[in-house]
Amino acid sequence: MEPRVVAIIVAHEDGEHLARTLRALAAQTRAPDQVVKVDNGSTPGVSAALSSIAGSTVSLTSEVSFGEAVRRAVDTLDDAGDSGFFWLLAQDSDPAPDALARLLGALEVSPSVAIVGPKQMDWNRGDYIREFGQTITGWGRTVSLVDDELDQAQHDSRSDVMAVGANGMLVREHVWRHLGGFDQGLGVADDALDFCIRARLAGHRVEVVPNARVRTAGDGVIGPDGGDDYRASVRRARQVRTAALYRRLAYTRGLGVFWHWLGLLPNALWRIIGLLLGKRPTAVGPEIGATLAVMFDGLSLRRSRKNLKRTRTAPWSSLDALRMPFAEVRRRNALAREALRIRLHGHHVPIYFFASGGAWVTLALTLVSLVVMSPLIGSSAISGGALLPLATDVPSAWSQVMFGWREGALGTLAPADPFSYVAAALATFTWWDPTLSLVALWFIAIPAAGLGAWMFASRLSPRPVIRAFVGVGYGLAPTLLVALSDGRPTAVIAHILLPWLAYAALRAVRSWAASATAALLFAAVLACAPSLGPVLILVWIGAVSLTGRYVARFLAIPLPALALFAPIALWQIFAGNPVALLADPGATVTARLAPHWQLALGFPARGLGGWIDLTGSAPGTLNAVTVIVVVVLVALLAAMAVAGLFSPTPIRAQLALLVALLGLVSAIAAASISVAFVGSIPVPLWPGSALSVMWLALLVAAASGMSVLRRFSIYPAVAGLLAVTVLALPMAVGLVRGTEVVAPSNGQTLPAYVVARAHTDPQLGTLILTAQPNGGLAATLERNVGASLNNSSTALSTATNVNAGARELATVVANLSSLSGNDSRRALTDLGIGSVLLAPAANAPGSSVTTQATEMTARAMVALDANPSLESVGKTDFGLLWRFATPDTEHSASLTPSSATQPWRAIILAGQLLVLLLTLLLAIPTGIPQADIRPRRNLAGLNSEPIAFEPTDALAGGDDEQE
Amino acid sequence: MSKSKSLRTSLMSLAGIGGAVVAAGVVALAVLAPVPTLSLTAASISVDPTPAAQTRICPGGLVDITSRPGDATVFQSFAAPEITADARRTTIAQTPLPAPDNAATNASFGPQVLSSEPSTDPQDPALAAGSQSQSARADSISGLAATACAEASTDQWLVGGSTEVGRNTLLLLSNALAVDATVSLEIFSEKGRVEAPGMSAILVSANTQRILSLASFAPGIVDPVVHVTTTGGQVLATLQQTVTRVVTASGVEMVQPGAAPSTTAIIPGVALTGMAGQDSEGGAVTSDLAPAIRVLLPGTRDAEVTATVYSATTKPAVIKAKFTAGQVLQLPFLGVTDGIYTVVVTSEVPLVAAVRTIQSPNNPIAPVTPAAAASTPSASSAAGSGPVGGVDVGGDAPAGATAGGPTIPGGDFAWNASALALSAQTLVAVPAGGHPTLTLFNPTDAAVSLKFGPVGAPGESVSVPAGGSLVIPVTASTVYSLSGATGLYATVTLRDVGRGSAFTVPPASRLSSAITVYPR
Repeated sequence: MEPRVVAIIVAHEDGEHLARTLRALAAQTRAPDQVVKVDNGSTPGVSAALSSIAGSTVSLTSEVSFGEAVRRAVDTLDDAGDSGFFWLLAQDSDPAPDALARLLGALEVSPSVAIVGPKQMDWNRGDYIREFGQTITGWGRTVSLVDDELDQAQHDSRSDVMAVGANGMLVREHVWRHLGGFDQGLGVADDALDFCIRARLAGHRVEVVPNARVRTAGDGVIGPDGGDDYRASVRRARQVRTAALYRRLAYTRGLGVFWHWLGLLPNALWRIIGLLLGKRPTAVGPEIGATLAVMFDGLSLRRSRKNLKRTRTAPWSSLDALRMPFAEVRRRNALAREALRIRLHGHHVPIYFFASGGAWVTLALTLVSLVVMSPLIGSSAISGGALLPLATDVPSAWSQVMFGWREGALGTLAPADPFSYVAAALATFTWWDPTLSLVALWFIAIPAAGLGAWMFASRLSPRPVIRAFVGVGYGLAPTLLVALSDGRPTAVIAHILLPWLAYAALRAVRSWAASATAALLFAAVLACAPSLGPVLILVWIGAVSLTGRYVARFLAIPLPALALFAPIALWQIFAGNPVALLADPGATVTARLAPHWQLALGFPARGLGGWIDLTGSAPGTLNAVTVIVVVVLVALLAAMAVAGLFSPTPIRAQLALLVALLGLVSAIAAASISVAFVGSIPVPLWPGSALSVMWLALLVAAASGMSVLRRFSIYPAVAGLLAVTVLALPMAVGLVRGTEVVAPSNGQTLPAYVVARAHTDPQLGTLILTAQPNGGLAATLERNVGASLNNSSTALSTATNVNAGARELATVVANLSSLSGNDSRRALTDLGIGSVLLAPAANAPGSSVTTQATEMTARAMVALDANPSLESVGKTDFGLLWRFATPDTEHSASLTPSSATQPWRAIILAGQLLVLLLTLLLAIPTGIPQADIRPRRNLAGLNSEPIAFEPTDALAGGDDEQE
Repeated sequence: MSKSKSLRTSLMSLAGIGGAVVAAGVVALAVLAPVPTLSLTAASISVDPTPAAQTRICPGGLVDITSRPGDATVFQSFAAPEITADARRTTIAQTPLPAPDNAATNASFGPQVLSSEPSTDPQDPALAAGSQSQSARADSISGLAATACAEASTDQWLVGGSTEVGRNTLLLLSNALAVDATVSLEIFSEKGRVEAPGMSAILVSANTQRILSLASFAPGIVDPVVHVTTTGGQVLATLQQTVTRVVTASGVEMVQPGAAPSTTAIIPGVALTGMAGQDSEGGAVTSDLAPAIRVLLPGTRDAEVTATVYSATTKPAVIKAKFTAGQVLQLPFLGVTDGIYTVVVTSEVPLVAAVRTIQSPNNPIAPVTPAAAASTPSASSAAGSGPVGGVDVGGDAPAGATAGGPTIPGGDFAWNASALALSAQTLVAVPAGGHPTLTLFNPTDAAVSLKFGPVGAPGESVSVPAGGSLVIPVTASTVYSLSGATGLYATVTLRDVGRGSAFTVPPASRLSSAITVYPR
């Protein structure tokens, strides 16, 4: 009987692909007997284009899957029995002129073959094979037999395969009708594979015909979307995964399907962890979507399983010979990894840590740090400035990161600072003695900062001297030395982490792990120095707009910071005090900040780091000379930075100078904003962190200026090294002599008497009274051993409203510090107070103690002495101490009921931990090269445009890397 | 090629220069432009403490030193003082204060505590005042001693007393609180600071008065000054000085605490009499038969001290002297006639001062307004003019009156301590004895007018001129009310022939005013 070949062509969009396909269809040597055109979907030009060829048209109002479209087309045909053949084409199938002839010839020769498929070639380069047969592994995963290879007839000996793709597939009509066509539950992925498997299970054979060629462009009508943009890859991942899970449930024999269905969710969770560890976070969404889609698709599954049961005659073991063995799978994976690694690392420039002086720089800075911090050697705790001890043990440190009652106040329910996470992490590093980690921090600050800057500089320049200049310049930065001598742990941590953040952000262009690391560092820096928020966010916006196609890796960087800051941000906004979000965490101490011109030179505190008082003389001409010396040194660095603007690629110096100016403006703004208070004295934001940003950017700009000279860059680099070293000398000498604020201590902030009592009753409170310059009295209630870095809270230090608990405390304090008729015994018992400490009067920075403050201290002393409930303990290092003879902490526990903290505590903690954990999983380096850097379309040598996996990293200038 | 290359180079340098200029401009702008500061205010709340019961301590009857078999020195009061006290918007409860050192068996002979409950309205505080006076005519003690019932304090300077032969000075420490007080003493003399054992850590138990003899610490001092500091509680320190010349008791006085060391000490109500018979060469006064101004610089710097004697009618008389730090000196009164004066002692460094006046039985009482400084020693019965420059309230005793009671053969003396500035509302309790006057001194640049009258009666308006004083004769055993007397200094002086006493009017305590608390 004369074979009747019906060509079914499904088109969704009009365009050049469809036109070329129709032309090729018309040019077939063996023309199809009937053409059924399916107008699949919406665009109106399709029907017009399809009308150029003769044949019946099926118009579908809405877009359906390829299999469904073919079924609709087949429904319009009458049964041709044994002699009918269907040839499946889509809008982007461009068959060779002899394709149909060869396919038909293969089918006519072998009656047992039910399905034949052509060799699918790339649309643009006809000699590259896109697909040539599919199979499954022992566990059912789809594997394409040939993937993106140049056709050199190496696969022409293939004949029998497990399955062929739907593009250009020629199938016997009766087999089609018997099997019921493509499965309706599957989309465009694996539909042909499933059809061929069912055909094999029904006893037929599937072959490929090597000399029949059909081109494919990957439009997504037949077969998954082959696009190379982000959305196409996500869609493709989802289609493939849904199909795999669907087939798994459809093929499972008997009651095993129930167990597979239950295991879908745990399997999805397991795979998500694996995806994050494998640095493929974009596949997480498709995984979840596929799992949910398959879990609730019971109807289609039942239909598929019934269909399979009806048509299956051969056992499943008959497919085993055609499955891909595991050894072969492993071999292919290894080859793919190696190819990827070569592509990735082909342009990877090693850092040469030891050869280019990184180890020497770190060693030198470590020695400097040991010498400079020598007064602190052997101490287990340091105090002074804003240094407070850490919590007494690790569990109490971690309990402070949660939303709840903030210690140090009377009944304030507030979220924790993000800094409490950093402080808890610090406490965990030296879990046997948490405060020791602050001493360790002081010792490793200089070398760690220098190392981070050196690593960052290693991405900018290969010259050892320039790298050393950046490393030493940042490690000995004036703002770091000022923070170390003034006792500012948050500023020190922010300074250390900044260059690592910059380094990770540079690497984030091509690495998800680096992007996640950058996100964690971003959150840590912002937690330690919220005043850097505007600068960092501006830099992030700039980076996002400059990266181009890798924007996804930068977009997610602020996510952990957002998760950590959201609770406190909302709380401050609802309290009507949004600016307080910028407040520095940790202890709040007054400071005499430098005037603007000293800030511009990089010194956050008054005195130019000891330069002004270097000669020890009263303000006079000698001080002017030392100031000029400082200006000259900094101007040298600025001159080198400006020189970078004249290089052939000035973009790096321009960006660095822009960031430096941003840092300076931010520092000056920070010094003018006071949102926190110590009693009544407002405390301005610490500008040192913004000056860290400025200093790093200035060094980077100076480094790029030095690189202009190329071979002779050693001279300005050495000059710069000397300049930064000389700049740091007075501060270093001051630290060595131990005259600075930071000094070894015993790690206590309350008198020993109170600490001893706290061991027996940790709930016992100490009321601390401090007279203020305007004659008022500041009152703090601390429990246990007093304030620590973990329980400090910006919600309290920036409070501008007085709540009911504070009102009650104020009444007690007023009555205690006056000759009052109120017996405070009741109030002291209710609040669980055991001691009253009268601290020395506070003075505004730069002025001495006022007479009103002295009078108020005297008045409080008289009143406390005259109070019969209080016994005087005497003078302590922290002030005058009185003790309450009969303290009772039973009532005070009811002041802070833990029931009031739920459910917010659990919700916030769960959310934050989830975000942090996911980011951490993504950040852990596992050595797996990322598989999604280059999409499948870009084949080596295939495209005419240059290979675009160079980082679009504006800061990586090209010139001096070619030397 | 070279043209495009030179074009590129010039564009590059132009971009570079432009960038440099922009950067320099931004830095200059950031450094020089004034930046607005954003500063919030800390959370604070102003709280009025619950008003406490006011407690005033009357030091008690004059203490005689006797000896009993088995006990060489026994302190014993022999009579009860007359206490004048009243309150506004509250009532006064009087309870005796136990004095174990005092052998008197009658509790009313000893110290008394006047306590008054606070008013319920913090805007309308309760006021109370009290004073005591006692006139003794025994062999060992004779004279008139009056003092205000004052509030306890932690830091007091007592300028007065003497531990020479024949002079006895007792230190009375009264603790009316429920907590024990620990007292430390510092004693200065004309030779400087006195070091003696036992001057620190003197324990005054709760609700007790202790009596100590100053001679046990510092015997043989002509002009002592005692500084009493208390920790752990508050006490009222008073000195009781008695003078015996040969065998005649020649006066007694209770010395009150004066103002804290300050560069200006104001001593109103100095009643001088018999100045014509005084013959001072102008040197330091060492005899206690002449009126004197006792001054001490308690610091470390030497300085010059100026004492100015003001009155309503005469020109101010100025006495200057150089003082060594830590040494007590007594300045004489030069060129001053009988009358009631105000003495103002000033210096560059803080000082404490008090004035001792002498009442001889041969001299009349001091007139309210002194006569113009006359070169001739006028007779004591010089006709005194009526009150000039003041309002006559209550009537003055006729000048020249000689006897108001049985004459005291030995005479008497009075100590005027330096006064403290009054607040707007004050009560003044004028005790029994003599012809009392109230002296008001106004050190400010503007005249102060106030209402003055007995408690319960509508007052009259009086005015004190700027930089001047006003002496008002008042009735004994009456409590007067002053309103609008902010910034004035006041003393009550009791005058009689051969007897006299004086005490300053204490201001209301400021230890219960509102506090601004910054809770955290």
